[in-house]
Amino acid sequence: MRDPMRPRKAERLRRGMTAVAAGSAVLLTLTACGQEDNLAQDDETSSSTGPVEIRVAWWGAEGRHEQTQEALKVCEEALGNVTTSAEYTSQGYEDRLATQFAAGDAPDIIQVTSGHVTSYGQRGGLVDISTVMDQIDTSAISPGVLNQDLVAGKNYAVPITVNASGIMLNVTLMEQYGLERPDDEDWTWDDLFEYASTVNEASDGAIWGLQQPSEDLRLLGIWARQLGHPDGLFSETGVGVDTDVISSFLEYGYDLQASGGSAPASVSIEHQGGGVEQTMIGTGKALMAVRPINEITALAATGSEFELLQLPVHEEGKTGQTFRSMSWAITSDSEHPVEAAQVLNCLQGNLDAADILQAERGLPANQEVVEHIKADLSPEQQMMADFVDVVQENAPEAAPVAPPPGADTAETMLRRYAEDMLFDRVSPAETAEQFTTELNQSVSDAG
Amino acid sequence: MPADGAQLRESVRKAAKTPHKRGDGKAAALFLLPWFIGLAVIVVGPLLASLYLSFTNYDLFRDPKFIGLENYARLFQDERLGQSLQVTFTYVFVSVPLQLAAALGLAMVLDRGVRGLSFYRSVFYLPSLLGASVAIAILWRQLFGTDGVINQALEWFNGIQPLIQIGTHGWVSDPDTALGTLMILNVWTFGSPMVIFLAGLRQIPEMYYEAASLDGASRFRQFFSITFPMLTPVVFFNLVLQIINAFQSFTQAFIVSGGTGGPVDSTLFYTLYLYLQGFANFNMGYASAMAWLLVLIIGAMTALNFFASKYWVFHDD
Repeated sequence: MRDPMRPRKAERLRRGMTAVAAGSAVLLTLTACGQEDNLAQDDETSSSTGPVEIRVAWWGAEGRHEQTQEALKVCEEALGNVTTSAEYTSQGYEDRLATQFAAGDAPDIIQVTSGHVTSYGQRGGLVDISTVMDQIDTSAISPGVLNQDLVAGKNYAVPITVNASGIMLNVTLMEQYGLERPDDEDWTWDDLFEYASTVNEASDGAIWGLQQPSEDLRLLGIWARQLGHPDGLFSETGVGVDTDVISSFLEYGYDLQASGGSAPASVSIEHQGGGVEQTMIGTGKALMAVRPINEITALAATGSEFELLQLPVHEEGKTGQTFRSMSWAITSDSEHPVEAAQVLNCLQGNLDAADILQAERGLPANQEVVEHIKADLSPEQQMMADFVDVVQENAPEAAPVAPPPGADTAETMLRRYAEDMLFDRVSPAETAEQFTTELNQSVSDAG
Repeated sequence: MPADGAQLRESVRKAAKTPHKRGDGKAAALFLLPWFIGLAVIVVGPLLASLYLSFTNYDLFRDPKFIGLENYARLFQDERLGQSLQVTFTYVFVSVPLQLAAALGLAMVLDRGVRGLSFYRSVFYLPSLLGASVAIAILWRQLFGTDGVINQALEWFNGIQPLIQIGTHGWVSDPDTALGTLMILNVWTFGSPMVIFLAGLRQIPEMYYEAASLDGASRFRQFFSITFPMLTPVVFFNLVLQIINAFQSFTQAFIVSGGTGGPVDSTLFYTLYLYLQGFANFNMGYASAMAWLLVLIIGAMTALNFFASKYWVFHDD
């Protein structure tokens, strides 16, 4: 007798066929969708009458995401012919971009740091800004700031903010431990050293004076400029200064640690990397730290009161400060570089957009925007504006040489070598030697 | 128990002997189709692509250019690659044996009939599921930090009897101890080999132990003459699997070191260095060559394992 549970052969075959057919149908539909998308895109490029979609990408915190999306709406209305889509993230921004670049699918406009302007620009990932200059009004950005990140003579980005390095002082802690406010007018690195070295004792070992500075690549550049090397750390072919300069910088941090002016290595290193909230200064374990000044907003949010002090100098009047921080760039993958340039122009200079964006990314590079929002600045942002005013008066005319291709990893490289030194495994002089060798090697490999 | 096992084996044998019914093959193929498509698209395709890319100077931005064996030649001059191999091998050779020892030890305790066995089994298995997760890595960073639970516990012991100078020592931020914390994390995920050991222990016929007891063999002797030899196929299986796993570890080091392999490259796992080369330095061609070197290393380790198994793994058939 036939097993009732067992379907007949023909029926089984039919079922099998149905499943295969269904499967192929799904596949076909999927491919069809893909083709339709392509067609739609082709149409847009050829006619370019309908609204064009511009993808804008940035990293940041929650507040920035909301503000930027709102500003993009303002830009959509102002321009009329574009729609925008936002691609933002708090972490893993560069990984995501790298993958998108590899897939030929990078967003039209991206937020970038100086280092990445170099590494993306040099590899052909960004649009030369001069080709779309008729769409962007950069007259309100000082030329020194505008041209700071040239790559082989070409500019691939428009600066969003002017930033500088300053000393964050936790006023709440200072008062709590009965310390005097240091006098930052024309103070030297030795003055800072002395003051920082008293803090640990004064606080009964609770906090340290200065967050370990020797892992700060930007500060190393300023250090070199202060010592009479206006090009900063880099030359076109790698490291542009003698190892003595780097060695003296590393030694400062090394001695500071030895004197108790900054925390022991394992404490310092535990608090490096990650956001400013996780650093020694952000967690209230250091009284002072050299940080980009725009971070004062985030620091103020930790609940303590902060003040900005000028950076010490080696020699009176030589501040060596550098300004660039963050830029907008257009990627070579963009099918609509002209419209992208229009959106970019709106983000950096439209005053209605500026009303929304404020100085959240830092002090705007566009002077008109600064004037426009000056009244609305928070006390911390006002501090930043004042700081930049003072610094700009004394800053050297020449911008430092941008990191050459292959030097975009210098930051993590310095960090690695400085850690080695702080754990007393290598002397500062040897560290400087090794760092220089590896950095030069990396640049020559990339060239 | 042994009777159950024999019955089960018998029924499995019977099932295996039953001739395949025609048509089942097609249905099976159909159901396997999604998996095969996945294999081709997600595994084999990229695998071949990376093999090709390893012979190019691909940098993610520009079209790859064929450069022959240059990337492979560079592997031998790369000092950081040497460091990453050293870190990885140390990690594998220290943490895998410790992990398996912990797994076997606990499996034997549980095998002696603990009340609520299934509860304990689940609890001990849990870390295996969580071990490679981001959350646990973050937790680890906290535990072994300067103000972490580990230091607080040590501090407390110090209060009673001052033994060690802890002061301000962060375990994950000291190059001498950072890798150790990751090894402990790996040992902690002993649950999955433990469950396999437990199953293996259940397979050993009770009569061997009865006979040994009658002959007056100690528990110690019983372990080395009965339990371990009978368990060697399972030990071998776990060893192969865990070594391959350990070589591929990434997340723990990535999170604990903040993506740098630091402090001072002390947690620079091979996979982490590969990632840094590919996505931070944009040397994707070189990173692909590194990936293939890892394939060779893991392949060689596994082959060595199989070769050596002839001398210590006991097969009862």
